Amino acid sequence: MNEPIKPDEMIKKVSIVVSKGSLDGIYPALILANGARAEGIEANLFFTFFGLDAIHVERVDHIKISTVGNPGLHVPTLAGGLPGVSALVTHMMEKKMEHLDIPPIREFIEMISDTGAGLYACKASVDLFGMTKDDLIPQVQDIITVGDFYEKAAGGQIIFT
Amino acid sequence: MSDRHWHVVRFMREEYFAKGTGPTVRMLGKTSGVSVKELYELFPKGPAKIAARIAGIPKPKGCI
Repeated sequence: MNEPIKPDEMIKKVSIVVSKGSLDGIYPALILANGARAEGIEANLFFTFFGLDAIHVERVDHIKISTVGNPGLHVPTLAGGLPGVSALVTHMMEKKMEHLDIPPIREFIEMISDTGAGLYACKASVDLFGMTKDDLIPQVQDIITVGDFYEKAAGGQIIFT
Repeated sequence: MSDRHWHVVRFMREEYFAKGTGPTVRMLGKTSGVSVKELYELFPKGPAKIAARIAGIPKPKGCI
């Protein structure tokens, strides 16, 4: 564990694709990006499909845990589908996170932006959902194509969540 | 190293000797009087990691 890493084995850049709009789909990506920057690793976040909710001006404050079809939560699927259950479970999780000083998604993304990480929205998804740049939080640097994404990711590792 | 660099390094040492672990970047941003943005300008290769090395304390534990 404390063996020094050889310079050519060090990860120098990560590009993280966020494709899900659930709390458990978004936080791991944010922690990976923030953690990369803390290690001096260059980081990009690319939000696509429902992952766009994480950078949507209104929806970013209402990200929920999926309580249906989520066996890790240990809530029976039928119970998880009842009205209000997702909101309740999300609220409980947010309380716990606050206690552990894990920032809410909006604040976390602002911080990641301050670390110098790149934040991008997927053009195909923005078009699909009929959004414009005005629908996205100001930290988003650009709406880019998949080709642009690969150019930005060149020479680094790609992580998909 | 500027005064701002030293401010961060000294703050890390104080925190480490008071609490047993150095602050992460988020904690530094909240408590050291230096914003996250400035921390990365001062230490582009990882503020908490590099400042801890200069301060002679272990790398801070914590994922955020």
